[in-house]
Amino acid sequence: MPERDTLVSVEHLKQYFPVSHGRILKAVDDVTFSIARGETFGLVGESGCGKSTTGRAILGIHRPTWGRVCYDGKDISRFTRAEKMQFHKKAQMIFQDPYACLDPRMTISSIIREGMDVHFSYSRQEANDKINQLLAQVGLTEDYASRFPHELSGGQRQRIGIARALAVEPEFIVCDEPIAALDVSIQAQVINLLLKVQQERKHGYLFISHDLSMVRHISQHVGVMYLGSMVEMAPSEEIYAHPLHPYTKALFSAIPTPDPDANWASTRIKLSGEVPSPINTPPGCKFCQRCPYATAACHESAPELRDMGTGHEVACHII
Amino acid sequence: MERLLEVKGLHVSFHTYAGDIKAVRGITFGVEKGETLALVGESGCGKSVTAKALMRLFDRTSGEILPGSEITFDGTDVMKLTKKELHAFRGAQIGMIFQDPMTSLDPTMTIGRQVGECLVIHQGLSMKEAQRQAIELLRMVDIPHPEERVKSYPHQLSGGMRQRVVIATALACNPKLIIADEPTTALDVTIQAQVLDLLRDLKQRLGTAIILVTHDLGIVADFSDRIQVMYAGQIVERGTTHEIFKECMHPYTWALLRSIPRDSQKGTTLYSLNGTPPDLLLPITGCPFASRCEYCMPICRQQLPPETDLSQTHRICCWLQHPKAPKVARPAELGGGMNA
Amino acid sequence: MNTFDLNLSDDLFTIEGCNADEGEKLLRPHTTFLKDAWRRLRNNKIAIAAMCLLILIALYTLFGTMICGYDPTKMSKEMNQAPSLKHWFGTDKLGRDLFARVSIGGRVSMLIGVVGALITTLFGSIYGSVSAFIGGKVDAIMMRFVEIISSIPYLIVVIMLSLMMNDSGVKSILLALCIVGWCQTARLVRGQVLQLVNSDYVTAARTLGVSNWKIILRHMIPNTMSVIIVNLTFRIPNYIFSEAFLSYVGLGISSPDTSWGSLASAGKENMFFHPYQLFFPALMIALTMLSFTLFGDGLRDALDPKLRR
Repeated sequence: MPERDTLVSVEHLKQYFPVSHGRILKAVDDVTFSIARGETFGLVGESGCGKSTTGRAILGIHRPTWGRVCYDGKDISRFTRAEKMQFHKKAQMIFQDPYACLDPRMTISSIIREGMDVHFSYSRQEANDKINQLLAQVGLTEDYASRFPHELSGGQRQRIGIARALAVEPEFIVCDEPIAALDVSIQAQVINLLLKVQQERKHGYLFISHDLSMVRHISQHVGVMYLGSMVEMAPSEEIYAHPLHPYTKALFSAIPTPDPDANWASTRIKLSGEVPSPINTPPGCKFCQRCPYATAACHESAPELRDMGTGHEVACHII
Repeated sequence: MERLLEVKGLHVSFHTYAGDIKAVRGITFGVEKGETLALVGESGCGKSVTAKALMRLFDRTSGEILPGSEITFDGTDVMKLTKKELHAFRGAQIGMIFQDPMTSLDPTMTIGRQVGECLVIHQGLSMKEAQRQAIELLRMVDIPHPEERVKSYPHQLSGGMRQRVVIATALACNPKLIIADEPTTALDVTIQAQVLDLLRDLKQRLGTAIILVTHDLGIVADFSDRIQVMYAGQIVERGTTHEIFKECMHPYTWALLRSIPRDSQKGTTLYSLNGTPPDLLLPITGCPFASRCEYCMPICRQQLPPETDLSQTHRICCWLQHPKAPKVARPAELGGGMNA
Repeated sequence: MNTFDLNLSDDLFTIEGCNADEGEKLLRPHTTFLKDAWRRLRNNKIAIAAMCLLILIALYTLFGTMICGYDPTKMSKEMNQAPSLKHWFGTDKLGRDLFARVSIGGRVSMLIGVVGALITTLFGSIYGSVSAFIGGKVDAIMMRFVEIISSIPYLIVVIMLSLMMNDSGVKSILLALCIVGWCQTARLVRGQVLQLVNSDYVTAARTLGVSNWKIILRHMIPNTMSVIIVNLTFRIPNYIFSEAFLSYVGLGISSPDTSWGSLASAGKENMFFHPYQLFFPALMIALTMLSFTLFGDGLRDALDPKLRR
C-alpha cells in the first residue's frame, strides 16, 4: 500500500450524548480512520449511524467523549488560539439542507464575505472581485451578489454554500450529505463542481452520504458505518467489487438499478428488521440482530477492524 | 384491459400574492385496471400535485383545479362529486400513501384505530370487527406481532414500520387504485427495498392499480408497467418502462438517465443539466425545457411541440420528432445510435 | 391524433443548443426582506386600518388639548355637562373639559405602555439571549431565577412598591410592571436563540472562525428581531391595560395627574347619571388595545419567514 500523506486522522473517536434517565446515546462508538491530502473519503451508512456526528467532531463542533482527532498530526482539542484560527481557515463544511445553511437576512455577497473578513484583510474592491470570482467558479453570475437566499433555488443555494467554504481557501472540506436534498439533475451539477475545485486546489474531502453510487463516483476510500461503528473500510474500487461485511453487501445490493432488465428485486440480499436504537446497545456485534450469518460469538463480543490485505479492513467474526 | 382512470386536460393553479403558479398545465393520461403507472420528474414538476388533484385534495384558498379539467374514475365524474360524495370516494375507491409516514398518521390514535377507521366509516363495520380486520391488514403488510401492534401508537414504531401502517390504512377498504406519493423517499435504502418488495407483492396479490410518484428512476425500473416523465407541469414523454429506459427520445429523459452515475465513468465529470427548471409563475412560451436543452432549436422557443406517437404506447412532446428537424441519435451510454 | 405542421420554415430547425447561464437567469424581481414584509403588511387591510387608528390616537393624545383649546386642569362652572359642540366629550364634576383630559390621560397611558414594553423587551431579550448563548449550568440557573420572579403576583409587587416609594405615580407603576414583565420575553427570546445557536448557518459561521460577538451581531440579532418587535407590539396593550386596571382600583396614577384608568375610575362614580364620563376613557382604552393587537397580528404574519414566497 503506498504511503499516504495523512491530513486528518480520527483515532478511537467516541461521541456519547446523555439522554433522559441516565441512558447514553452512543452516536459514534470507537471509530478510527484517516484521510489523505487531496483524497476523498466517503462515509456511508443509513440515518442514525453516526456519520454526520463524526464529520462534526472532526471540525471540532462536538468535543469528543473519548479519543482524538488530529489535523496535520496535531490534536485539534489542544490547539492554541492562533492554531485554532488557522484550523478554521483550513477546514470547512458544506451542509445538507440548502435552506437552513444560509442566513435568510444576509445577501449572497455578505454570506460569502463572512469568512473572508475573518481570515483575510481585503480592501473593498479586492473582496468584491473575489466574490465575483467565486460566484463564477460555482457557475453563477455577478447579479446574484446582491440577492437574498430565498430568491435562489435549492441547487443554487447549495452552490453558494460551497462558495462560502471556498472563500477562505481551505484544504479540507467536510461535505455532510451535500446532495441529499437536491434533484437528480442538480446533484450532478454539485458533484461536478466539487470534483472540479478538488482538481484545482487539491482539497481533501470527507464525503458523507447515503447515496452509494455518488460515493463510489467521487471517493478514493470508502468507510461503511453501522450504528456508530465502522464495519468496513477499503479503497472504493475494492469495496464495491468485493464487499465483505454482510451489512455492506446488503447495503450495496439494496441500491435500485435503473435498468428494467436487471431484475434487481430477485437478486438482491434481503435484510430483515430495521436499525436498532443506538441507546444502550447490547455487547457484541451491532449488526448481529439483522445479520443472516450471526453466530453465538457475534452476540458476545464486538469484532474489531482487521486488515484483509490491500488496505481492506472489515469488522466481522465470520470472515 | 379496462380503463380505470381517465384524466383529460388537467390544469392546476396555486394562487399566491405574486400571481398564479401554474403547477400542472393541461395533462391527459389514463390508468388501466391493475396496472402500475409511474410519474417521474424533479421537484416542482407537478407530479405530486397531479396525484393530489386526482382525489381533489385542495382547498379553494391554496390550489384550484381549473374548470375544463376532466377526471373520470371507474365511470364516476370526480369533478362533479359533492363534498359528501367526495368524502365517501376518497379512501373507499382510492388509497393514498404519502411521503412522510409521521405526518400522515395521527399521533394520538392507536395503530389499530387508524387502520380500522376507514372500515368503520366506509363499510359500516363495528369497532370490534374493524379491529379484527386491522390485525389481518397489519399481518398482510408483514408487521410482526400484529395482535400487540394494534394497541401501540405511531411514535412507538420505526419509520419503515410506520410506512407499512400507512400502506395497511390505504389498503383497508380494498381500493381499486393506490396513489403512492414518494413512498420511500424518507426511508433508508435497506428499508426502501423492503417497502418496495411489499408493494410489489401486494400489487401482484391484490391486483390493485398503483400510481407511483417519484423522483428516483432507479426504483421505477423494475416496479412500474408504464412511465410518464413530467417537466414543468407537462408530460414530456410517456411509454412502457422498457421504452423509457431503452428507447427514450426526449432530451430531458436522456438527461435524467445520464445524470445517474455509472461504474464506468468514476471520477470523471458527471453529465449534468445546466440551470434550473423554469419558474412556474411566469408564462412559458415554447417548450419548457428549451432553456436547458442542448438540442434547442429556434422553433423550441416559439411553439409548444405537439405530442406525437412513436409507437402504440410511446408518445413524446419534442420538436426533434418533426420531419424537418435534424436527426439526433440517443447518447451512447443510453445505447443510442441505432434509432436515429 | 396530433400531427406536425409541415409548413414551418426550415431555418427553425437548426440545433443551436442553449447558453450555459440561460437556465440560471434571475427572472423574478428583486425584493429585500423589508420590502417583502411591507408588501404583505400592506395587503392586510385589518392591520393597516389598525395602524391608521393608532396614528390617529397618537395624534389625539399629543395634540388633543390644542385642538379643543381647553386647559385640562382648569375648572369651570360648567360641571357634569353632556357631550356637546362646546365640550365634545362633556365635562367632569369639577367642570374640566373631558376631551382635553382624555388626551392628557392618554399621554400617561401610552407612555407607560410604550416605555414599559420597551424596557422589559430590551432587558428580557438580553437576558434570554445571554442565557441561551452561554447555555449549560448558567442557563439553568438563569432560567430558574426567571421562574421564581414570574411566580410572584404582580399586584403584591405594586402594592409593596407604592408603599416603599411613597408615591403613586408613573415611576412606581412602571417599575412594578417592569420587574415582573420581562420574564415572558426572556423565555421567548431564549427559545429563539436556542434554535439559532444550533442552526446550520451559525455552525457554518463557527467553522469559519467568526467570533461569538460577530455571530450575535450578524446572525442572532437580525434573526430574532422580528420576533422581538412582534412581541413588543403585543406587550404595549398589555401594559396600557395593566396601568388602567391599577389606576382603576386606586393603586395607580392619582390626582392631579391623570390617565385613562384614573379617568375611568373617576367616571364610574357618576356612571348612572353621566355615563359618558366612563364611556370615553373606556372607549380609548379598548380602541388602543384592539388596534395594537390587530396590528401586532398583521406584523407577525408579515414578518414570519415561513409565510414567504
